[in-house]
Parts: sequence; C-alpha cells; structure tokens
Amino acid sequence: MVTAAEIEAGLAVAEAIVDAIVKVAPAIEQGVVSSIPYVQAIAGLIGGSNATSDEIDAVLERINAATDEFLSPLPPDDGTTTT
Amino acid sequence: MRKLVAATVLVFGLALAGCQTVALPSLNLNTAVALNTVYGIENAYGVAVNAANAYKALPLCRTGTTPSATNICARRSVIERLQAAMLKAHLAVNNLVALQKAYPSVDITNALSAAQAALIVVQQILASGAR
Repeated sequence: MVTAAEIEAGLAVAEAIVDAIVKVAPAIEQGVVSSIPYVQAIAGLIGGSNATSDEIDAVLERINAATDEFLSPLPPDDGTTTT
Repeated sequence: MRKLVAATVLVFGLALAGCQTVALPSLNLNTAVALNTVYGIENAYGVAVNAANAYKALPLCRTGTTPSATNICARRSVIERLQAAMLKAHLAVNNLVALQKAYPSVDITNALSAAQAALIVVQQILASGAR
C-alpha cells in the first residue's frame, strides 16, 4: 500500500527533475535547433546532393564563429565548481 | 547522294556534339567526391560544436557533486578537456578545407584522417560528459 507521504515524496522528486530540465531547456533547445542545418546538410549528401565550394566556405565561417564561442574561457574557479 | 547526305549529317552532328561537349561545364568526379567529403566532415563538426556549446551553457557542477537527473550540470574538467580537443578539431577541419581549396586535385586522405580523428576525440569527451 502506497502512503500519501510516499506519493508526495515521489511528486517532489518528479518536480525537481522537471524544474531542472526546464531550467536548462533553453540551452539544450538552442543546441538542437542550431544543429538542424548541419543534420539537414548531411541528409542531403546521403540523398545524393553535391556540395559546392561556396557552401563549404559559408558553413565553415558559421562553425568557426560557434567554435570561438565555445573556446572562450570559463569563469575562474573560486573553488565551488572544481569538478 | 542519299549516303553523302547521311554522312554529312552524321559528321555535322558529331561536330555539333563535339562542340556541345566542349561547351558544357566539365564535372571532375574526384573533385565532387572531395567536396562532398569535406562538406560531410564539416557538418559533423558543426553538430559537435553545437553539442559542446549546449553542454557549456549548463550550470557548472558544484564541487563534490556529480551530474544526475536531479542535478543537471556541466563538469568544469570536461569543458576544459573539450576545449583542448575542439581547438585541435578546429585546426584539423580548417586545414582540410584549405587544402582541398588550394589543391582541388590533390589526395586529401591524410588531412581527412586527421580531421576525423580529432572529431572522434571530441565525441568521446562529449559522451564522457553525459555520464
């Protein structure tokens, strides 16, 4: 027999998980949305389309900008995020 | 006479066909394959960079904690390893594109292998961050 307290505890855990996911959802969503053109390009290649030099240049420029963003340094560690 | 006309038409037709062949843009299959290969690697790299940026956008894990369903966070050590690997992938992919562009008919196998290897390392670190 499940008690009301157990149900409440289960709901609290579920709520915490949902809260955590909602909090980070924009980052995850952004990652997924930004990847769509790349996935579509790969699908196009598999489907038989041919790439051009212009496409290669344009995509590289976009990826290099995203890489620069990723390579920007993290905030310094004050000891609270040493993992 | 009929034979002469037929022969003339045939020769003229061949000449026209010859002209058309010369006039059409030529497609170097090796170049097309190289462009597609480079484009494929490039786009795979794009997906990896986006995944890395999405990971980096997560809150950093607090000291002594580990990522879990209730503690969605990014490990500083994973991001730092990813940055080192991403820098290598960035150089390798840019080298590959530059090589193919400067020497369209040259064999790009080595540059391609370097880019693939660099991207595999990025992928492995990303996978370790998800654990």
